[in-house]
Amino acid sequence: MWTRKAAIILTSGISLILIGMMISNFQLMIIGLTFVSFLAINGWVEGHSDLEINREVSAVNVYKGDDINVILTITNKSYRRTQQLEVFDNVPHEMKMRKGINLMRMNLGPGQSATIRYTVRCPLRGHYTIGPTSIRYRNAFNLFVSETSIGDRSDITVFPQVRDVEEALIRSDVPKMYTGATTLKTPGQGMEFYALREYFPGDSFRSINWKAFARTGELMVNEKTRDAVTDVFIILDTRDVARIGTVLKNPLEMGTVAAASIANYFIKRRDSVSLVTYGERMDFLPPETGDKQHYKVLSQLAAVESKGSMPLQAVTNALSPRISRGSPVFIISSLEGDGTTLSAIRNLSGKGHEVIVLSPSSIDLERLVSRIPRMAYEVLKLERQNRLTAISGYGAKVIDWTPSVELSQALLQIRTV
Amino acid sequence: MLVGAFWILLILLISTIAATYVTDGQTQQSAYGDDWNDLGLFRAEINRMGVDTTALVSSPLLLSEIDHPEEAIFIISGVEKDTISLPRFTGDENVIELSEGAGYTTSEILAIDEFVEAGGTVLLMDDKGYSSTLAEQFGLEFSGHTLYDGEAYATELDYNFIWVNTTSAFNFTTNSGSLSSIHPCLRDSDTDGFIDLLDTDPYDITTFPAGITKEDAGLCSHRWISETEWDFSENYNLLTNQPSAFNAGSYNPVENRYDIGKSTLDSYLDTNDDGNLTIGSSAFGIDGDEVGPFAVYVRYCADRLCVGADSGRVHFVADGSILTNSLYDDAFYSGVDDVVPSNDNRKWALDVIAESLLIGNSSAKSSSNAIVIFDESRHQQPTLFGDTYNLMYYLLIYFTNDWMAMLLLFLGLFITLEAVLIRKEDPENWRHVFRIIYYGFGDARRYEYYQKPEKIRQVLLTRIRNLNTLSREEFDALPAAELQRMIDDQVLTKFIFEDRRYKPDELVGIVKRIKEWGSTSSEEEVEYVDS
Amino acid sequence: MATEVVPESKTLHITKLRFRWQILLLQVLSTVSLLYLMRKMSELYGECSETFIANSGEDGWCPAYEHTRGLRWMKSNGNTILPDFITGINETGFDAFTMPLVLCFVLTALWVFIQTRGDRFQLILKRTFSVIMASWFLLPFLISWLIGIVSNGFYLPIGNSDDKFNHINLVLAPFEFFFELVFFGIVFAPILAGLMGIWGLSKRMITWATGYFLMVIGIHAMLTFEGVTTAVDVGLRPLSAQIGEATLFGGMISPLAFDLLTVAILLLLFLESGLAVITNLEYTSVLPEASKKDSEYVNQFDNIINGHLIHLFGVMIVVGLTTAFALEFDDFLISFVGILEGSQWSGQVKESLELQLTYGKVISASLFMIVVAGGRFVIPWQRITGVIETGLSKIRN
Repeated sequence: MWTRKAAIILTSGISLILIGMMISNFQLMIIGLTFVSFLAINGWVEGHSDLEINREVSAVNVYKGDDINVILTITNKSYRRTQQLEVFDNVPHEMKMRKGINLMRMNLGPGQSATIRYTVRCPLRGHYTIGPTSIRYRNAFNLFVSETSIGDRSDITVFPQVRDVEEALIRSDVPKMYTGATTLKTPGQGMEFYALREYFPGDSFRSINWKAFARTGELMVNEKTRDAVTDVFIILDTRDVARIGTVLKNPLEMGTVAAASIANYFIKRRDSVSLVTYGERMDFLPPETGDKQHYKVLSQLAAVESKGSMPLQAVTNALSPRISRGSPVFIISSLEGDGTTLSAIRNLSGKGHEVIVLSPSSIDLERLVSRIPRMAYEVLKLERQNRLTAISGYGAKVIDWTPSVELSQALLQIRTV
Repeated sequence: MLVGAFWILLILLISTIAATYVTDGQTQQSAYGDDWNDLGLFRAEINRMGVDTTALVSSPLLLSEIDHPEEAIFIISGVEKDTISLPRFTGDENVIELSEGAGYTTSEILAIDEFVEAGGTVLLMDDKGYSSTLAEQFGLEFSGHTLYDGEAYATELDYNFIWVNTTSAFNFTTNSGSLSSIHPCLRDSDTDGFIDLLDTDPYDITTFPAGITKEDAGLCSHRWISETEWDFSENYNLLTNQPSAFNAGSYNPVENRYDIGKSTLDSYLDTNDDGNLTIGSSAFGIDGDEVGPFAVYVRYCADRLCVGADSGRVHFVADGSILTNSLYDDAFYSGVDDVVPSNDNRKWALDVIAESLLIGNSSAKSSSNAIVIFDESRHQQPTLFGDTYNLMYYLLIYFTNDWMAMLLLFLGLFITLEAVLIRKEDPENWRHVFRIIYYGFGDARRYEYYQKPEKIRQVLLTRIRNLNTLSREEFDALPAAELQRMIDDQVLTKFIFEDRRYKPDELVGIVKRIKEWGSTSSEEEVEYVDS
Repeated sequence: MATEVVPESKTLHITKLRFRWQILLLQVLSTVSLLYLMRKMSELYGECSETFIANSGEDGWCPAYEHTRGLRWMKSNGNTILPDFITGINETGFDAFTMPLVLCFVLTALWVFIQTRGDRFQLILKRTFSVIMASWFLLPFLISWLIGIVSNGFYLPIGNSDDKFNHINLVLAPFEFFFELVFFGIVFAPILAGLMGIWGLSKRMITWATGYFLMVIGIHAMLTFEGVTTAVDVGLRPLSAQIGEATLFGGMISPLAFDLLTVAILLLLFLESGLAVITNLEYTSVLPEASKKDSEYVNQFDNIINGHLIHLFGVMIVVGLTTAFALEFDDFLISFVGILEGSQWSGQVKESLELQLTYGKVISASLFMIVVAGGRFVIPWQRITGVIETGLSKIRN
C-alpha cells in the first residue's frame, strides 16, 4: 500500500515534470524525475518474508488481577531480510500492560530471531484471546506499507476472585450443617444403622447380623443409611439490572466474587455445589464436587454477562425438581426489577430449603455513577429495606451488601425475623 | 470487483480515444518511406544539400518551439488522419467549443498561422484529405472533388495524371509583372547572368565570378546548368496525380492570395464523383460537373506580393502526391508500368525550399538555423506501436501547449493532490490502549417519582406492614385507628392521612422520621457481628 | 521474566540515543546536505540577468536567491542595523555566507537549549522578548519626545517642518530591521528552519524548509519563463534553455543536468536523513522504561538504524544514477531505433522534433522509469542478497 507521503511524492513528481515541460524549465523536470525515480527504486525493496511466530503464556487460566507473562518469538525462516518490520501482538483492551510492551520494530536477517516479552494484568473476569500477531512492513522512507497478520491466538480465562470466607461462614449465623457428608434417612451404602432385613442371595457376608441370627435362627443383614453429600445451590442474578455501577463495582461483579468464594468454600469441604445463573436464559451446572467442578464453576462465572430479565420465580420453578430436600440455596441478586422474588423465596423456604440472600445494594452502586437526589436516594433505600424485610419475613437470611463492605464482612451480617 | 470495473472502464475510454487516432490504413506520403507514393527522395535530396530535416510526429503545436521560424519550412503532404476532438475555450462569445473540425484542431491551425506570421513557410499538398480547415484559415476552400482535364493530361500515363502548367509563377497579379526577384535563385539585380547570392558584385554588371560550380550553387543547384549558365525560367510544368482544386475565390490580392497554377478550360471537377464527365444544367434538373479552369496551386504571403524575404508564405497545392517518389524522379519505377514523363515537380519543390531557407544569406548555402520539418503526425503508421507512440506524444504536447488543456491539466493535478491530501490516510500507529471505561446507569427518570409524597407514603405503609408482619389483605383490612396506633407518630400519621401538597423540606423531614421510625422499631432485631 | 539489560550508555533513552554514532551521522549528513544545497541554489539561482546588471548596476535588487544585493540596496537608502560583518555584504562568493551561517548555528543551539528547559523558562523568555521589542519600538520615541518637550515646550512629534522634531520616525526604525531580516531570510530562513528541525527534532521545520526550496525553484522558473518575461522581466538569470551534451562521467550526464540533479538529490537527502532521526526517536520514546534497557530492543533498534543508513546511501546513489540514465535514455532510444533499418516509423522517430526538445526526454525518461519500476518483478534481488548474507554469516560463524 502506498502511504500518503508516496502519493504526494508521485503527484508532485508528475506535476513538476508536466509544469517543467510547460514552462521549459529543466530543474522542475529533473526534480520531478528524481521524485518518480525515488519511488521506483524504493518499490524494489519489499518486506515480510517467511516468518514463524511462537507465543508462550505463563498461564491460560488466571484469577482477576493476576499477571500473565507473554513471550513472543519471531523467527525469519527465509533467505531474505525482513526489512523494517513492526510486530504487534494484539492484546485485548481489557488487559493492562504491566511490564514491557507488545510491540517491537525489527529488521531480521535470514534465520534470525527476536523475542518480545511483556506482562499483562487482567482486572476484569472473562474469556479473552491474545493474538493474532499483526505484522507491518514499513519502507525505510515511509513510502510503502503492507500489513498481514499471523493467526496465532492464545485463549485466556480470567476467573473472578475467590475470597476466603471460611471464617466468616463459620462465625456467622449460617447453619453449620453444611460440614461435609450428611446422612439422609434413606437406605444406602452409608455408615449408620438404618434397619434389619432378611438376607437375600448376593448380600455381603459382612453385613449379616449374627446376633439376630442367633436370636431368631434366620439370616438377617444390617441395612445402612445413605450417606449423601449436601448439594449447595448458588443462584446468581445476571439480569440486565446487574450491570448498574462502574466496571469493577456492580452487582454482577460483586455477585461473581461471592459465588466463586462460596463455591470454593463448599467444594473444599467436599460438598456438591451447583451453580445456576439466570438473566437472558438460565444456565444450570449440576451439583458436583472436586476440582473439575470448581473449574466449571469458575469458568461459568468468568463468562457471565448482564443481559435479560428472567424472573426469579421461573428459575426456582425450573429448579425445584432438582434441588434435593434440605439443600441450602444461596441467592445472589440485587433484587431490583423483579416482582417475583418474594414468592420465589417463599416457595423455597416453604419447601424446607435454607435460603440465604446476598444482595448487593444496587442503589449505592448506582450512586457511584449517577447523581441521585438525596430524597430519592433515601426513599429508594427505604423501599429496598422494605423488600429485604419482607424477604427475611419468609425465613430467608438476608444480607444487605453495600459496595464498601468486603464479602467476608458482609457474610457476617444476618437478618433474622 | 470495484477496482476491476474501474480499470475496465478506463481501458475502454482510452481505447475509444485511441481508436479515433490510431487507425489502420495504408501508409503513404511519408518523407521517411521509399515506396513510389512516399517522399523519401525529396527528403534525401534536401539532406544532400546540407539542410537538416526533422519529422513532427505529434502535433503542429510544437512549431512555437522553433527558434528561427523565418528559416524553417513546414511540409504537409496529405492529411490522412482526423484529429481527436477536445474541448477548447474560444475566447469569444461562444466561450467553449466542444467539437473540432477535421484534420487539425483549432489550436494547431492557430499555431501554424502564428508560425507563418513569424516568417515561416508552409507547403501544404493535399487533395481529398483533412486539410480543408487549415486552408480555410487562409481563406481557401478545397473542392474535395477530383479534377480531370481533357486537354492537359499525361497521355503517356492516363487521365488521372494532370498537367498543371504555369508560364510565370512569379506574376502574382495582372499588373504586378514578374516578381522573380523575390526568389534568391532568380534574383539578378545587375542582370549579368549570375544570381546576386553568387555574384561578386550584385549591382555591377561588369563584375561577376569567372564560373560557378554546382557545389557553390548550394540550394539553387537545381537551376545550375553549367559554370556560366543558369536557369532563370519562371515556368513550371507540374505533373499531378488525381488532383483536386480550390473553389472560386482562391485569388484575392487584397488578402495576399495569388493563383499560381491553374487547370485548363477543358478541365472539370467530378462533382458527382462518378469518374465521368457529366454535362448538365440545373434548369434540366441535372447536376453536372463543374467546368474549369480551377486553381490548383495558390500562394499566400504574409506581406504584400511576398516582397519581404523573411516574411511568411504558404504554398497550397491541391494534390498530395505531387512530390511522391514516382513523380519527383521520372526515372523511378515502382508499380507504374508506363514511363513517367519529365516534369518540373522537383525544380519547383527545390525552388520553394530555397526561397524559404535563403534569408539574408551571403551564399547559396543554408545557414545552420535552416530546418525542414515534415509533418508525419497525420500519416498512418505501419505499426500499432508507432501509432500509439505518436499518440502519447500528441497528448503530452496537447496538454502542455493548448491553454484549455493546460487548464484542465492543472485542475486535474490540483484535484488529485487535494484528494490525496484529504482522503489518503496512513495506517495508525499501533499501540495498546487499556480501556475498561464503562458505566451502568439506572433509570434516572424514576428519581422524580421517588420524591413525590405518594411514593413516600407507599413506602411508609409497606414499611409498617413488613415490620408488623402483616399480609397485604390483613393490612388493607386494618382499621385506621389500629394503623395510627402502629405508627405511633403524629407527624407520620398526619402524613398518611392528609393528602395535601408538601414542600420539599417538609418531605425531607418526613423521610428522616420514617428512617428513624424504621430503625427504632427494628433495632433489636438486627444482629450485627463485629468483625 | 528475566531479560538481559544493556549498559546505561546503550539504552534507548533519547538523551543517550542523541550521541549514538548512527544518529549523529544522519544529523550531520542532513546538515551537510542542507548547506551544500544552499550553496548550489545560490550558484544556480542567485544571480541577476546580465541585462539587469547592466541597467541597474550594483545597487539594484532582483529577487534572486541571495541576500547581499537586497541589503546593499537597503544600505544605499539608509542605515542598516545589522553590522556588515554579520550580513557579509562586503564579501564575495561563498564568503558572504560564512558569518550568517555561524549566526544560524548559534541561534539553533540557543533554540535547542531553550526547548530543553521547562515551560516556565520559555514563558519568561517569551515575555522578556516581547518587552524588549515593545521597548525598542516605543522607548526611543517617547524619551526623545519628552526631552524635546522639556527643552522646547509641547509639540506634536509628527508633521513638523524641522525633521528633528518628528520623533515618530524613531518608531519606524525597528521596521527597517524587519526588512533587513526579510532580505536575510530569503536565503537563510530555510537554513535556520532546517537546522532547527534537524537538531531540535522537528519534522515540521524540516518539511517547511524543503517546501521553501521547492517554492524558490518554482518561483524562479515562473519568473524566468519566456511567456512571463515578455510581459514583466524582474531581472532573474534564467537557466540555460538547452540541457547540453552529456560529457561528464564518461558521457553519462551533461554539466547542467548534473547540477540540477545534485539539487534534487541533496533535497531528498536532507529531507530523508533529517526525518529518519525523528522517526526512529519517536519510536523509542513510546517504549516503556523496561524495554528501553532490554537488549532485544536495543539490538533490533541497531538493526533498523543500520539498515536505514544502508538504504539511504544505496537508494540515493541508485536514484541519482537512474535519473541520470533516464535523462540520456532518449539518446539510447534513438540509437536503438536507428538499428531498425527500413522502417518508416523508425526514421521519423530518429529525426523527430519531439526527441530534440524536452518532450522526447520526458517520454523516454518515463519509459525508462516504467522499466525500472517493473524490474522488481523480474529480478529477485532480495533473495539474491539474502543468500549472500546467509553465506557470509555462515562463514563468519
